[in-house]
Amino acid sequence: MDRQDDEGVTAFVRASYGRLLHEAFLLCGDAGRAEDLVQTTLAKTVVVWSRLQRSEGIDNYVQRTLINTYLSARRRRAWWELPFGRLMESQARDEYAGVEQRDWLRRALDALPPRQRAAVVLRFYGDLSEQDAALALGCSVGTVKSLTSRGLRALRQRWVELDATAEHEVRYA
Amino acid sequence: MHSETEFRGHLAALAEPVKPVEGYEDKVMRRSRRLRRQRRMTAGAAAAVCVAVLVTAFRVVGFGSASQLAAPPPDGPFLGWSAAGDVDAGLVREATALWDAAGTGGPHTAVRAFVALRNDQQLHSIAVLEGYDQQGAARLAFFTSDVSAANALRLRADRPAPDPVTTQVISLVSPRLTGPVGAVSTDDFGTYAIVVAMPGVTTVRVSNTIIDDEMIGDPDAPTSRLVVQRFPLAATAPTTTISGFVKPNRPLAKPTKVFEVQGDGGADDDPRAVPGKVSAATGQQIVVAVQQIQAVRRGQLAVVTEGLVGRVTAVDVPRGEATIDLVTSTGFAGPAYTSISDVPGSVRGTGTSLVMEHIPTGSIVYSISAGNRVVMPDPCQPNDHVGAVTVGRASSDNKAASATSMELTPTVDLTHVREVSIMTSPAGGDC
Repeated sequence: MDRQDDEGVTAFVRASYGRLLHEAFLLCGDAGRAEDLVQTTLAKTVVVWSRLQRSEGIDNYVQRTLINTYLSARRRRAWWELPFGRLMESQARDEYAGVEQRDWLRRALDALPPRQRAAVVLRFYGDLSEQDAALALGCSVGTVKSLTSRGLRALRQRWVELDATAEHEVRYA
Repeated sequence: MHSETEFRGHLAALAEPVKPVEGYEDKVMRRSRRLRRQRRMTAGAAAAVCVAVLVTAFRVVGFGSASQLAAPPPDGPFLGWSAAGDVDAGLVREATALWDAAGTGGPHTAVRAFVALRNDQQLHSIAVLEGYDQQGAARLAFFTSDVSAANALRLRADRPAPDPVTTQVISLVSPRLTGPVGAVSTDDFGTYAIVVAMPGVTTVRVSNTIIDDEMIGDPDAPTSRLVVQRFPLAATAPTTTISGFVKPNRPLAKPTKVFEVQGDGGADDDPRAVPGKVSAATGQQIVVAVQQIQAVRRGQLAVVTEGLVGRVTAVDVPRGEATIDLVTSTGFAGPAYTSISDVPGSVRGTGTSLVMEHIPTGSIVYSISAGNRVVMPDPCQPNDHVGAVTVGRASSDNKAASATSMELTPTVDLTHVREVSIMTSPAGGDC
């Protein structure tokens, strides 16, 4: 890469880092992992920077790489990090979130399967069309519709459960 | 979460507090450099593995330089070859005594055996010896059993020893190897080829153009250096091809052909093939220069491995030349018959092509199919079947019952003949 490329890359990293970090956080649910995911994605992009400038759009490539890296990491983790059959203790609430709904949404997203979560984030946070989401996920438009629909249904279900719990807690407080 | 808009807002609110850490640009660039290094190393390792796999494959499959056959150094005028198989000392003594008593220059000295084995499945006893005759000339002799005399050993051929430096294979092809001396076998498949190749040869293939290639078995199967092959009576040394192969010492390597030669010659009572080099050629005739011109007579056949070239029509003894009418010339004609099915007739050259005529019609249906082999008897042989030479193949079927002639395709490419063998009479004969 020459000097001009270096400057272009740095400018691109600065311009896209924040947006990608937010998206990665919604995918991972953890700020540290989100940083790692974004840096890996951008490093991969930098490696093929010259080729990207001659071919497809860089944004599309970055989006696809982010999703692939996230899904691959989840697959790898699923292989060597075997979860317990049941939760031994409930997850601690975010003490600094302050807002009950944010905490709930983070937990609800964590409960989604990775591809459903990615589809939901791409469609409702990234504002991608179904076609673009399909491109990023490497699947058909029909699959995107199905993943999104199932993801939303699961989130709504948890919302209903949360409402019922809150009402119960109020009634017996 | 009552609407999608509300949900989008929740997602944005959830992600909003996350802020990039300090120096993320450097981290990204460092990570990209590390990734590049890893990819280079992976590509290098993959290339090394590919090269290793290719090199191993080449070694295993057998690509690479062709095998060279190292000839053993000659032992004076004799071939410096070891014997093929176990040598039966008693058989060597018996054969030497027979050789000495044959009156062809005995007693023989410094006799060594290339082959001396009993109980061969086809010829019972076989011996191939080299030694000096009484005049000190190196000679080569072949012996086989006489089945009509309780497998008594008989001397079949006694010739000058071959060049000890250039010779790679010695052979004898004859229909006179199973009975009394000089007697032709009564078996239709009574011609035998005895072939001994030099040490180092792993496969010897013996074929004759009187048999179609489809009848030959696995050509790559390894053989002994000694091969005894049975052929129809029409097979002779000039129409026999002997190929030697060496298989490199690699598991999947294919054998490499190291020589391909004509059969050396026949038994002492067989017609002798006299070599001639083409010195002039027209569309109808060729003129060949022959060293042993005294043996050449009009009417004798000129042959190559593929079949009949033509017939001698004129002999110029002072100039050492013989003129041969090609099989397609107008001067060429003679009896012929189809091989195997034995449909009789005669062949004639038309000037440009070859036809078979006088195919009988009538109560017996004589059917000839395209590709059938037509052979011509050798006038120097005792009957029409022994040593008959392929003259051509039927160009088409003669399905019409009334057809008495048909066109043949000569088996020899007459425009590219450089050397021929003229089938001359055996010692003491005249044909």
